[in-house]
Order: sequence, then structure tokens, then C-alpha cells
Amino acid sequence: MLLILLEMLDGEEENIFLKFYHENKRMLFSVAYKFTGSEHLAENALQEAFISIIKNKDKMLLMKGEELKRWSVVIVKNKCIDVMRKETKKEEVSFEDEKNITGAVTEDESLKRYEAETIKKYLSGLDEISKQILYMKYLFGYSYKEISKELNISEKNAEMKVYRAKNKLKEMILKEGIITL
Amino acid sequence: MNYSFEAELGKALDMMLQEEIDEIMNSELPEHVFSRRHEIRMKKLLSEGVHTSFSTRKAFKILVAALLSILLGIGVAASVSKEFRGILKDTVIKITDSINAYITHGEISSAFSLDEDTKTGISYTTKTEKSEFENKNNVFSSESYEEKLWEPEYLPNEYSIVYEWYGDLSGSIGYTSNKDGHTIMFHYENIDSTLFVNNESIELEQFENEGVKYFAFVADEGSDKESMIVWYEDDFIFSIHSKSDIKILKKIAYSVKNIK
Repeated sequence: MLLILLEMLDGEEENIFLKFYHENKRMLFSVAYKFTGSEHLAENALQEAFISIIKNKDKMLLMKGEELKRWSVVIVKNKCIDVMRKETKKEEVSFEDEKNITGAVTEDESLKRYEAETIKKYLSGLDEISKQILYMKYLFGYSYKEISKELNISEKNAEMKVYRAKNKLKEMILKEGIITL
Repeated sequence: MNYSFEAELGKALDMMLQEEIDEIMNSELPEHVFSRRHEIRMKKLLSEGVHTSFSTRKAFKILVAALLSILLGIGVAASVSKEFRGILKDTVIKITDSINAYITHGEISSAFSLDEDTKTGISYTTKTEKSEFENKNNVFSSESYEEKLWEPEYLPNEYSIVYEWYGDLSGSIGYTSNKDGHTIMFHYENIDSTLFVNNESIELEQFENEGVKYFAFVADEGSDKESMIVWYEDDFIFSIHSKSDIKILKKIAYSVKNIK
């Protein structure tokens, strides 16, 4: 039994990070470079992303293949936002400069006819930060607490940003929907 | 059929993200050579990440293994003869000791800086006894590939290599003189650990060669102390120490070249 249990200590666990990094560094760098437009910032974002990935190892270990890749892309983009924010020394640029959403019809009832394919079209019209927030919340099931940690903001603020991003999307869908109907 | 906007949103996000990744993968990825600084940081980050992130998990597994072994031992021992109980008790103790040794070994291997100091022959390991070598506000420090990265091109004829050790972005080479038996230790490390230098009763000289600043701790002639030259270049910290003539050490220091 001891042998079996000790066997659990071995295996490929320890190689996961290294393997993942070497297999995906070019792709993730490309994501970061596309986002930041700078090799230096892209490398910085990649380093920050891996700090975050290591911190979220429990989440990582539950993912495999494409899901892991998609998740890491989201993390890298989060860090791109971070490094660019630091670079421009503007605080909470895109988050706080968002206008308050007013007058939008946000009842889920009104959205019932929209399937994923349609929603996707509108998603592409969202700003990067809103998309990132939605990825974390609705694709990877982050809690508000996890989002707050990832973005270095308060939990309350994270909740508000999720609400805003979702509302913004709904507003776009409904506005467009009314026009096209 | 129940409709959930959030579920549809999740699917939409999934599709969008996948499209984005496909687009990146299908386009030509930029020919980028990662900077040396980046690779060093990533290597360190990943190795530390592996160590720290899995150590808790490992420790937990070890504890579970130990506990179950002990319980198993007790259970079996209680159900068999007295003689067997004794044997089983010894076995359990041996297993527990092995596990303890395993845990201890893990801790030792992570104590990088202590190991390095011991291995490199830099005997100045106790913080309280030593003064920290600083270049203005920058503390010289270090980190590490398991291959030779730096090497002096110059070496006096009478010296030959007696010791070589290469760690993760660090390395040490020891030379001994056939004439007087003096040893010269050359050591390099990357910039994430601290180097301590005993500068008591030692004169500090500062000089420059080809844009690199060198700091020499020159021991009095005839004293039993070693002279030491320390410098910082390309994210590495270097040191050479010996009782040999400081002029020889300087010549060796100037000749150190990156061989990778």
C-alpha cells in the first residue's frame, strides 16, 4: 500500500508546467504580442501569466488539452491588460472609463430567442476587458472572488464589472435586434 | 426546453475564444527569439512554481501514506503474535524514517543558496558574521542551466582544473597551482541569490575594464586571507577568489567569456 501511495508522488506532475510552457510559449507569446504590439511587453505578460497559472494550479490540473490552452490565452490577455496599464500608468483605464449603461432593457426574458451563434456576433463588438470578464465568469466559471484576485480588484468591483459586461452585451443585442427585426 | 442566456453565452464565448486561437495558430507565428532575461526568469519561475505548488500536495500524500502505513501496521500487529508485532513495529519505524528522510531531502534540495555556498567554496555563509557586498544600492545576487556558461580564457600555465561543478545557471571551477599549491576558485551565478563577501581587514579596490566594473577585495600580502574579485555582467555575478597574486586574478577576470 505504501508503495502504491508513494507512487502517487511520482509521475508527470512536476513536468506539467514546463511541458505546458514549452509547448505553448510561441502561441501564447503571439497572443500577447498581438495584444500589446511590443515584444518586451508580450514577454512580461507571459511571465505574469505563468505566475497566475501557477497560483491557479488547482484549476489548471482539472483542465486538459484545448480547454487548458483556451484558459491560458485568457490569462495571458488579462496580463496584457495589466502590463499595458502599468506601461501607460493609467489606472483602471478601460474599467472605470466605461459609461454607465442606462436605459437598456436587460430582462433575460427579452433575450430568450438568442442562441450562442447569434450571441457570438455581438460578443466581438465588446471591448477586450468586458470579453475577458465574461470569459472568466461564464466560460471558466470563476467566482467573483477569483476574478477579483486575477484582476487585483475588490470582490464587489469584480461583481460590478461582470454585471456591466453582461449588461453591455445584452444592450447591444437588444438594440441591434430591435433595428433588424 | 429550458433556455439559459448564460449557458448560451458560455457556448458563444467558447466558440469565440476557439476562433481566436485558431486564427493565431493558422497565421504565421512571429519569429521571436525570447530574450535571455525572459528565459532565465521563466526557468526560475517554473522550477520554483513546480517546487512550491506541488510541495503541499506531496507533503499531504506523504502524510497520508505514512498514516495509512502506521494504521496498517498497528492493525496487523494487533492481530498476530507478539513476535510478529515486534517485527511489524520495526518495519513501521523504518518506513516512517524513510518518509522523514524523503521529506528532509526535499527541503535540503530546495535550500539552494546554502548548497551553493558550500559547493563553491565561498565560505562566507553566515549572514551575521559577514558584510553584504553591495554595489551602490544593488545587492549582487544570483540564480542558474546545467551546463558550462562562462569560463576564463586565460589561466596561468602552472594551474590546472581540479574541480568543476555546474548547476542551474551557475557554475564553479577550481584551479590549483602545481607550483605553490594555491587554489583559484571561479564562480558565476545568475542574479537571484545574494553573494556575501568577508571584507574584514581587506582593502576594497574598484576598477573598470571594457565597461565592466570590478570590485577587488585585496588581502594583505602574506596574510592568510584570500583576495577576491567580484563583478556583474549580463545578469550574472562572478567571483574569483584565491591567495594568489591579485594581478593574476585580474587577468583571469578580464578573460572570462560566455561560451554559450
